[in-house]
Amino acid sequence: MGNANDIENTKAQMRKGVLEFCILAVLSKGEAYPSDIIEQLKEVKLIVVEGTLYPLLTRIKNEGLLSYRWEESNAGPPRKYYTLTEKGREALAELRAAWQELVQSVNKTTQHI
Amino acid sequence: MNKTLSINISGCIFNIEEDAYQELYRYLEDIKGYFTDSDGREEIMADIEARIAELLTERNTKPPRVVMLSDIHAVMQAMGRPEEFSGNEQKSGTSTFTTDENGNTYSGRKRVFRDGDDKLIGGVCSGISAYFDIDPLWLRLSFAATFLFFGSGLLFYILLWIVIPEAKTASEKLQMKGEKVDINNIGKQVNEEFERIKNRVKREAREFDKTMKPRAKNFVQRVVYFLEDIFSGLLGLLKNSFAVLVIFIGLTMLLALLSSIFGYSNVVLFNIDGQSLSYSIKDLMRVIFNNDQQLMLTAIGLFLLIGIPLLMLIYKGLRVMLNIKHKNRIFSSVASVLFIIGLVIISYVAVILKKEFDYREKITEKISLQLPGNTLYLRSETKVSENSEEEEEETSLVFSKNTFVQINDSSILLGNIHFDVVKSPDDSFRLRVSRLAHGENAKQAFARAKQIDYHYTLTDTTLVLPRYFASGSFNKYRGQQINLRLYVPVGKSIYLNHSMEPLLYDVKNTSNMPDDEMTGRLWTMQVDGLNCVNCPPPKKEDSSAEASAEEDSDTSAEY
Repeated sequence: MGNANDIENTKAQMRKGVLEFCILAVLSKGEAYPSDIIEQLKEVKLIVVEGTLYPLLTRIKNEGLLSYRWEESNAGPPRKYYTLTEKGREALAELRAAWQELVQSVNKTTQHI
Repeated sequence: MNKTLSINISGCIFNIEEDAYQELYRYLEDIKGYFTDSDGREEIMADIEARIAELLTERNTKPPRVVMLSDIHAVMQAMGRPEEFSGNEQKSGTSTFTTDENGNTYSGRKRVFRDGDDKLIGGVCSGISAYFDIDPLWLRLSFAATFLFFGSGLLFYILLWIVIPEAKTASEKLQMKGEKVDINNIGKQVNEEFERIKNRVKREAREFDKTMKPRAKNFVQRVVYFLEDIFSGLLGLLKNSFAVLVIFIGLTMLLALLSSIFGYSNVVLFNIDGQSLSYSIKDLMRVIFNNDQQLMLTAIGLFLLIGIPLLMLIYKGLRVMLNIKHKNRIFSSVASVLFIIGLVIISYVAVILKKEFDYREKITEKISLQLPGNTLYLRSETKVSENSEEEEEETSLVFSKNTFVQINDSSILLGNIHFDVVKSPDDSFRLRVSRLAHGENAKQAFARAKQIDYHYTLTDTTLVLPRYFASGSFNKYRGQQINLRLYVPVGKSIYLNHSMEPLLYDVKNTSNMPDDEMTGRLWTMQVDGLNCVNCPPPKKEDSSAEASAEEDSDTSAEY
């Protein structure tokens, strides 16, 4: 049982590692508010619980990769619409290159399986 | 009737039931405890609240818009538990969590952790002290005191060390400190709990009214849920009491094991006929094993074989009691390996010991006894040694009713004597004495049998048989035994003194009387076997033939 937990943990870590990259990727298509991002990431099972997103968004924003604007909603609270900054685009490009490199390395080391 | 509150989440107004509000409040406080100001706590909380408001709005489109506990639970499930999404905070490295910052406001459930920041050995004492909010010094002193009792405290400490996880993350450190447990807090907690149950009962009652008629199935469900709630509470209580009991029993047995193997205290095994069988395992082992190495090996083996399962028992009990979910796989595997090592050691010793018993030799001598009269009086003497100064050094070991061992340094005394009576082929009394012993080979067994020291004395018409025999210069137990067979000529009698009882070994007689009833009576040898002379009239079941035979024997008896 402990073994299964460890594997679950590893899987969660893997997801977490690419989450930032994916958030930037989602936002590169245009501005979005958290629920949109959640919807998209949940669909591909990158996010299991929604709470994961908020600390991450705040951190990326504080690093200057994102900016946001408020927009009133007719049903529910006002929404924060996030967009990529110039710095964010650069970061995305860098992460994309790093990801491709990583995929190649992983494929190379695991191809015999 | 249930009180509803009006709350504002991210600018949205909700009517919320009181219990739902409390649940939501606790949840938000929980999350708050996982972030610091430098993480941007305010902003994260605002975002999370906004999302919660959105989720609640989605769930409540109907006009009355009352948020219920089930809504809050659904929201919590969607958002996840705080520990599930706080991982990023750790990774970012910006976390400079000081325990004081939130220590007082954090209201999560308090848990036991080891305190790595304030430790002398493993942080066990300081962790437990934090849990109960006491000064660790007292706990440390009491542990130090228990180290003295066969090191049982040390074992317990190590066990706690293994069982209780160390507080590594900031949140765990918070949980370790938790809310201060003082009178105020306990009162608050009890109140909260009471309110929660009251609300629940109220709600159940209301649901009951509402659903009486149309939805009986739902009503049954409600009742079942309600009962489940109560039962789970009771079950938790029961589980804890059971865990405490298991720990207590485990510790007691462990202490008994340690002291009996390594110390000299006696272990009371069980009770038969008011005679308790008790002996020290260490003394027993000294009688059996050839050398100290074997003795030590067996002590270790026994400890592993019995002690490890006991330790596991205590471990499980502690886990249940302290509600620890962490699995410590290293501990389980180490314990299993040690148990197997114990098994191997004991098997090894058993095989070696078995070899020592492979051969059995018997030395028999038959002596004819010259008697002045027709009746032989038999008596057994329990005096164990001629020189009484030695007696203080002797230790008695009782294995069963028939075997009694006493040790002094040079030789051991054994009470393994079997006495029985048969018909003599001629007209003289005879005694056959067989000395038996086991050994690795026939020669050794023979030598040991020869060393057995057994002296009976015959004065006038009284034969005195010692209750014990000495093993001789070889002072280990190797199945030494004395078989005594008395040949009684037909027409002559024997009287069995009460002291003979432990020696009697299935003595055949015409009235099929068991051994323990045969003493204190006069027996005459007849053609068909030993006959009771001064027995009370036979019981109802006895055949009349036997009764008449007894009358016959009366006439032939001589006093």
